[in-house]
Amino acid sequence: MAATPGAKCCTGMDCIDRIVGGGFPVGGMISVSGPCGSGKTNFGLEYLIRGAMGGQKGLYVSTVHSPGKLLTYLPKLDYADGKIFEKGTVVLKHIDEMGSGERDDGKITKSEAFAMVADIDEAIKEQKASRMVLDATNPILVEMEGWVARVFLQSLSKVLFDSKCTGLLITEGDVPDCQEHTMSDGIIKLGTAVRRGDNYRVLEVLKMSGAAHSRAKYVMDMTPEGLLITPMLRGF
Amino acid sequence: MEEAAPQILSKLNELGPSVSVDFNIGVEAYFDTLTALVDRFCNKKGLTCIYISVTMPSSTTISALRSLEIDTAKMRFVDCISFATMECASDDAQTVYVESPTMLEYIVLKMEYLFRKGKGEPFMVILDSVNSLAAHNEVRMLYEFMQVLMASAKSRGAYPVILSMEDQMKPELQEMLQLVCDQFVTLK
Repeated sequence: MAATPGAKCCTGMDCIDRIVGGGFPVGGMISVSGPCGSGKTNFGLEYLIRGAMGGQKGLYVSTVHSPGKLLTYLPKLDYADGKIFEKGTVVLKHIDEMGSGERDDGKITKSEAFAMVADIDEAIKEQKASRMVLDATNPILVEMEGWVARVFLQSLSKVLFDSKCTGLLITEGDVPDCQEHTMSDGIIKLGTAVRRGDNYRVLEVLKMSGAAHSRAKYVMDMTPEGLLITPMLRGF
Repeated sequence: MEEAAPQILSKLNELGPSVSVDFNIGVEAYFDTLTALVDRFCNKKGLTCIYISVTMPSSTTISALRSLEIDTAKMRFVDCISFATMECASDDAQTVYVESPTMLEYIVLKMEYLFRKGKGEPFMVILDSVNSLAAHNEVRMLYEFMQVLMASAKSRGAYPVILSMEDQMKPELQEMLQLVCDQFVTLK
């Protein structure tokens, strides 16, 4: 049974739920994009950890670091149960475990893209995951022709919707009209703003389907108590 | 000038929490004010004190209070000075640092972090001082910041206290304080 229209996946990150209109659309595919060091991976991990604390199982698919290495990067989070990963409430996988590794002239073929999505689907079902994070999309999409990438994202979106699993696509970079954004149900942009020589980590919600979301720019801080945001001051 | 402490305690007890108050003080009353706020009010009422240090590093304030034999165990500092002088201790559980007093949003965020860390404890928030912040920021920016800071502290049921120095007051700063504070008290 596919996701019910209008149903929300309350992220458990208070500040995010407040500005996206209560949560992400259940079964939606949300793009979290931003340059290196903007906090995307931490955002994704907190999303899964908060879900696990509320009884929702999670799946984290990395296209970069191995699960073992990723565990050593986990930030110190005072709110989190340290055994979430040990207990398997959140499962970490690497994209190399998905599909067959088939390439044609160095490119991921359409059938291989489908195989990867099928394996993600299987992992979601096996884990009974309500939340999924794919971090990051770029390393695999760069190996696909444009049309294959579109088919991949379309299929992934359908899998998430059909299984009522709300997914985050972590996207490296600051390209406003990339394929991930076009196909996503929501876009959260992380980045850096400079004011009088000071660097600020900022967050904006550019799109959230079916929600009257905030369009303000927020300064954010990743703390041991989780992500915190406050509206960026304008001074006029 | 009369002793500052009785005036401060009487005012805070009269106003209760969630009412923002500015105490406009002379330099000579600074430590008397600090003692009254931290020892005779916060410690006596069992409040956790979030102390936003803009005038001097948190380590200096802690040393000064300890020399006066005041218990600082329930104090938490948002230190906006030490980072610039590279004097921030990474193992200090009592202090969180803001890189510059111009990064006003991070002061709000660090306060919010300490509220969350305190999980429902009763709080007092002391901003020391608005004049030092005004030396680094435009008044319009400061006005917006103070509104957010005060609203946030009030919504947590904290006692929000701003210190301002009588001999450093500019008219536009005083005007701003009168707009953002529920009470503006000049200690006689």
